[in-house]
Amino acid sequence: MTDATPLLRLRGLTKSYDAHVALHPTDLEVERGDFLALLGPSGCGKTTLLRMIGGFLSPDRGRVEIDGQDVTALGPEQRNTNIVFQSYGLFPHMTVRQNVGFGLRVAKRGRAERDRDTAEILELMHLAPFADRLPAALSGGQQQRVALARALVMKPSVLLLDEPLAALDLQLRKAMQEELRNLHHEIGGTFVYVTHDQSEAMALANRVAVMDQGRIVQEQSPEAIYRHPRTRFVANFIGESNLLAAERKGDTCHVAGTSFPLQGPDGKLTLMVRPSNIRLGRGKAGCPKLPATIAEAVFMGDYWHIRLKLQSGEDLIVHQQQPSGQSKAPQTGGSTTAFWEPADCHVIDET
Amino acid sequence: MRRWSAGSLSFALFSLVFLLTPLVLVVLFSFGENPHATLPFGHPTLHWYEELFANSNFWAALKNSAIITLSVGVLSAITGTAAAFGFSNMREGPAQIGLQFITAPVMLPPLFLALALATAYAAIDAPQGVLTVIPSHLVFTQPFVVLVIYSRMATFDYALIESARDLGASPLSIFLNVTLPIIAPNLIGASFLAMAVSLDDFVITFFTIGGGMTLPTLIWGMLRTSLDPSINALGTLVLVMTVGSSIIAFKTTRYRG
Repeated sequence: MTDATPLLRLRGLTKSYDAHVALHPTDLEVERGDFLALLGPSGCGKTTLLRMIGGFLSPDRGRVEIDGQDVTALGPEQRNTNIVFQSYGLFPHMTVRQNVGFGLRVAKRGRAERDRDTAEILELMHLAPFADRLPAALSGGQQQRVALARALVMKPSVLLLDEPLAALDLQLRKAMQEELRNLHHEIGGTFVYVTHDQSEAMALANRVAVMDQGRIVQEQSPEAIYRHPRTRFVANFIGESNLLAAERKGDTCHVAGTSFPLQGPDGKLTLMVRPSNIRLGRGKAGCPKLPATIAEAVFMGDYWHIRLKLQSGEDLIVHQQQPSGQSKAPQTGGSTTAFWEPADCHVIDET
Repeated sequence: MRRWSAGSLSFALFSLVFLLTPLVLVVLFSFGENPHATLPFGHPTLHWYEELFANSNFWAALKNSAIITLSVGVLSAITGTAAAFGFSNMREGPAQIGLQFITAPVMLPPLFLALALATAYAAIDAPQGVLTVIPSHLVFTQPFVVLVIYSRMATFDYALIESARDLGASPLSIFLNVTLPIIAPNLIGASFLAMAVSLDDFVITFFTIGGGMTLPTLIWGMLRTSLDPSINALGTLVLVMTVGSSIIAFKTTRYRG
């Protein structure tokens, strides 16, 4: 096998439950060292996909290849993948050390090797002080780390994570995200991470696959997905966005009572502009300028969240950074002009 | 806490006295000198226990009861767990139907069940004895284990089983290392419950044991010939064993955080 072979390759994976299609034919390739997030709302098929990679669910059709080998017919106990569940699945009657050492014991590794590997991973995950406690005596974050350690000690080709942080509170979640990121840097390895939280996907993954209704709709780097969402769904799901109905005629785009040059074929289209890319004021040469009234302004700390009413009746959300020292609130009901750099708007292909 | 009205309190006390008096009398007579098991009790004595222990029938019956009770405890734990696992892997609907079937013997009149079993053994020419009593008891003790384990599995965290599989464990290894240790308190409790039910069964034992005796059938046999307080001594022993077994059952099955 060469390095050109992706570590994990899915070919036409399909799964239906009676009439409900959980996963349409799906292809996916994950390279060595990737941290891939499967991102989507509940019911989008992301967990189905993850469970098929782990061998917990067999596809109706299609193939799962790991390291160039077809593992579709193998169960989880025969695959070199390990999974971390949202509920952790820690054995309640075993200590942390026994939990972490379980896989090695089942694999009949020698005592010395088992003890060494277990001690090593407990140290890495800062769990050594709790090694002889039962899971029930640990906090949520610590239990989470035990589940991770128990999977990682098996040195899996692919580590699967099923919303592992969903049960933690926001602050702990942020801390664990950082820990996961560091862990991935430190030990390398290939992670596939299921989440419905777009900020978590952005914070962790170097590649994100956005899923909707049983399909991967876009699979790219977080930045590419944020800047160039392929569909309305992706634009709405990843960060906040304004979607404006527009029409292009002769390389001129007409939107909300104004127009600006935009190359491309004639026809109706949807323009996406991120709230943070829109500025208010008198406008600037070469920028599309939209007269509007301020309908609502909410102070969010780092920025003002402003809802504008355009002349077309559409809403436009603007996130306005406050220059330091200035704290004048935008006047509700006042008139203003919204504008953006032509490069900051993105055309979404309508289907 | 809710206050009890005088009426409901006295009714509760009356019921309690009505239910417990015969039990208390059996125990008291077994320790009294009066040989006719009537009032007054007479001086306290262990005489009737000595007489009972001198009776060779008692030891034969105790041995049979012990063999039957322990076998039934172990066997119903095994078959009951197997059945409960089977049902918990089924869909809710078919599982409920299956449970109804397998627990039906508890609902059937014991006399009918006893007659059916005796007829069946006669039909296949099985020599009656301890070995026919054990499976007969299993029929109505196993449901207790099935129900306890089935309801335990309803709240079982299947992520544990999937995790163990994921870590490479075989089904047998998962059962021995993960499932069994977790359900062990429930299983032990259910098994003691089964033993308590088996220990004091009379009707089904009587119909299926042939010539032998267990403690309950010994009581019946003694009652026919005499009514001296050594029967009360025996009754007291059976009471202690049954209640003891039930207490262990309820203590161990209680959910532990």
